[in-house]
Amino acid sequence: MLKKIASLMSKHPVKIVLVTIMAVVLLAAGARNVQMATGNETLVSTESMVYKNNQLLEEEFGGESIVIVYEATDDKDVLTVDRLEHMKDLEAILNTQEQVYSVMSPVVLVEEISSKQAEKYKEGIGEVSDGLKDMGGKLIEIGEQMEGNVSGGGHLPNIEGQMSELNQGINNMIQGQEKLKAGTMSLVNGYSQFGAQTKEAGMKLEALASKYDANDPKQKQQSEQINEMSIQLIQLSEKMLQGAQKSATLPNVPDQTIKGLKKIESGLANQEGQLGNLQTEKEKQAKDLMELSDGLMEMGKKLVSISDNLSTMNDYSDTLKPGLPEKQETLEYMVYDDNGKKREIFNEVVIEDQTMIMIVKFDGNISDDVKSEVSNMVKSYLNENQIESTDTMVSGKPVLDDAIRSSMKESMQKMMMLSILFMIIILFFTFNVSWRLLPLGIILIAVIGTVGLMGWIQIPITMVSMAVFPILIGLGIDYSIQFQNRYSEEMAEEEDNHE
Amino acid sequence: MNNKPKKALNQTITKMVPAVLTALISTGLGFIALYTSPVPMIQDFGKMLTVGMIISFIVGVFILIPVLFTRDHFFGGERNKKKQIKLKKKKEDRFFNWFTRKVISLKWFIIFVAFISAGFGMWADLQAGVETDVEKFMPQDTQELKDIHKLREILGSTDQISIVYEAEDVSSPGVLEWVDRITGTAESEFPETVKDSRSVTTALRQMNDGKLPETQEIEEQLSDMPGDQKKLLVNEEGTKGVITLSIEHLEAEELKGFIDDLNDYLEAEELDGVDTTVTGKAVLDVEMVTALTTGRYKMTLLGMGLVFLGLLFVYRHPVKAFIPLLPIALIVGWSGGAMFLLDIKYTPLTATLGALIIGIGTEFTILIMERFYEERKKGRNSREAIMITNRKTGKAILASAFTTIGGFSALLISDFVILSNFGLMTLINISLALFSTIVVMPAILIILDRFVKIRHVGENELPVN
Repeated sequence: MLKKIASLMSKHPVKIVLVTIMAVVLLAAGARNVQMATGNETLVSTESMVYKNNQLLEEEFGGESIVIVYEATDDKDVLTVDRLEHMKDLEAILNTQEQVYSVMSPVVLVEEISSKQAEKYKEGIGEVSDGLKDMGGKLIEIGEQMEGNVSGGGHLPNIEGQMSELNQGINNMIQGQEKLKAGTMSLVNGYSQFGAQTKEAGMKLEALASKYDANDPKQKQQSEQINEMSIQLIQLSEKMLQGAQKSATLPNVPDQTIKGLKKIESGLANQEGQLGNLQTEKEKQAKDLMELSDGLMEMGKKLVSISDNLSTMNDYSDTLKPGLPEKQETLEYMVYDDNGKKREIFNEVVIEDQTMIMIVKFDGNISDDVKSEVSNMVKSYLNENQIESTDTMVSGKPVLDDAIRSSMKESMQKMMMLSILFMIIILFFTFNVSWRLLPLGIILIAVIGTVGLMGWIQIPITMVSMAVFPILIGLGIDYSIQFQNRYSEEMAEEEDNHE
Repeated sequence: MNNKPKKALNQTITKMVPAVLTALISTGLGFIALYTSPVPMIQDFGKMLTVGMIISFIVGVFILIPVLFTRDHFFGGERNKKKQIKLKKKKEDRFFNWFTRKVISLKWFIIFVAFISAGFGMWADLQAGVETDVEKFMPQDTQELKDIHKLREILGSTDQISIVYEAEDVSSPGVLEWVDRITGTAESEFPETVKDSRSVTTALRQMNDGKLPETQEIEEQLSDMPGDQKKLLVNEEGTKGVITLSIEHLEAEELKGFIDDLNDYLEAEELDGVDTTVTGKAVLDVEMVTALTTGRYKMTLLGMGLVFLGLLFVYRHPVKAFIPLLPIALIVGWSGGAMFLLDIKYTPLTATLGALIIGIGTEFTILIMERFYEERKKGRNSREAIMITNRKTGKAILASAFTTIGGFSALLISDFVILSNFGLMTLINISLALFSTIVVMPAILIILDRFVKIRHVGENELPVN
């Protein structure tokens, strides 16, 4: 067998060399598929229970996470509108990545709070609209009854009872407003529309007031009251509009609304008393009442239509989408509770007052490439968009792994170069035959073949196996040296014998 | 003229290829022991080494030899240079002869010292620690590593252990109460280790001003919870949930203790119909430590056993198969001692040293032994045979050791702590292998010579002197 090889080799040495080199080249093509691995699969067998459990955990609850740290370098609170905007943009980029399982950050929490508040706000508007509707309905009813009574000449029925129901309506509105107060978000459009409606209501009331006969003292008094009410409503609406225009949604606006509504409420209560008096002189004032009832009915209709408008608005309220607050005050109002203490949910992402973090969790069991890609994306975003007096940092296991992989590459290159250099020096001094560097060339061919074969049979390079190359150069070269040594020895002896 | 290269080629292939092939097989068998490691990256390491060595052998036979032959056969020349070298070689030969003579005279002393020191090394090796913190393997001045340390400082911890619980309905009041109890008591039960604990009930408490909601409200509160938050705590089907414990960054041994304690604790607090699994990265780390510490001796012993069987198959002689392993056993012992003295901890890489020594060392010892018996077959007595062997093969082995050292010393300069430690240890080991091959091996060969019957090539070629 060996003799056959020997004779074959002496007959076709060049062919054999070429064929072997061809084979190595074919192997080397696999080098493209070589992967670097730093993950758990390099540490623990993928067949083991422990590995499977961990895989299950990642599947159900997400995998590794990277953490982005924002640190305020001035002595102020890290939670500022600017930084949150910055974070939100980053989050938007991350959310486009399919393999991101979840993002946790102050932005997410603030948005969550604001969406809760928006819900309350919507509820509030709903209640206001219900209140207005009730009020309108009652007014119409009162008007009709008044009219009926006047024309029928009968007793004026329980107007006082109706009035108190009217009051109830206003109360509903107040409650609604209170909810609005809790949900003061940047709901500019909604608010301005509401303001406009309120204004309209005020105008209607004003119009109603003008229908009273100014000469009749009682009617005059009533008309004045109604007038006052209308003025209050108009003022209220103006304040609301103002608030909306400033696109600020400070909590004091609903406060004022509530005050205004309370005034209206007391005005109505007053009117209730007045109506009681009216009852005693009903006949005398039948005609006036008729007019009043017409007015009330009209106002009622208007109020109902306002309420309809409001509820339509509420139903289609895209404008009520929650967002980040635009003012520092609003933000602080959301982050701190009434006692000025940070709300507990922020504890996870805001550490002391200077530092906040964003936690990006990946899907379970995804490739290292994706993790590197995402963490590099975050890094470049942070580099391109720096914010004043803020230090940012990206960290976490995937980032570290990425760094390990890149220094693995560097380290491998350095080691290869050095081992080749050492080898040249050593061969030069210790290997006393001609063509003494030949074994080095041979072993380099072998190394290339090995790398290629790794790609074909999918063995990844790990922190441990990257040591293979210098080892291979050191060990593998032996074989070549042994062969060349013996060959040269034989050649020399041949010569001796001949001489 | 043209016959010379042909003869040289013939000699090289018929004499050298089998010897090197035997060395390759024994090296490969040593490396195969790496496959038995439960740590995948060690298995990969073993595979790559084996594959690499086989390719080196093939390329050596099918490229190097024909290239040399082609050079001499077709181009000839370059004869004169060699004569000068040969003169120089005479001096070297004299040194080797003197050296070998000394070694032979001191053989019993050498054997004694070698075995005693190796025994001490093996004992010391049992005390060696294991390093499994991946962060301690990598370049220590990497910015990302500093970042993660800083992050750990900020957060108090980045290490987490997860307790996954499975039940028919994890949001049933009974299960929730249990989860709440475990979440609450984990911190007080392990105050040294657990920094924080989170589960679905901590989230519920946060939504509810610190109180756990009433039974009838739970459903509503759970559906109120934002999806992004909820999916980190309970799965979609509502059959699995997780309690996440943030823990201190612990050494593997302590971590193992903690996980055992945690499992005991969960067992004591067991609830019917709820299955718990402790998992997470930390648990994987612990698994690896166990694999490393228990797998190491097994790997080395198995490597030796395999090489012995392999050699037994090739030589069909127990003593001959045993001889190359003796110096290896010595190196394993010495290497353990060296690690102890240098205070280097075992890493996944240094844990492979045993197998690596077998691979590298047997090559040396087999080459020496083969040549020794080749000379003995020619009819020389053991003394003479040793002299020739050390003179002829010793040089080759010296050169080979130097090149190996050259390759491995590149590891020494690596930024990766795991590699530079390994590089240092392999350098020490190769030096030891060299020492043991040139100094101890002749002594062993001479002492054990009486157990090996030599079939001389012919009676007429009996000892010349």
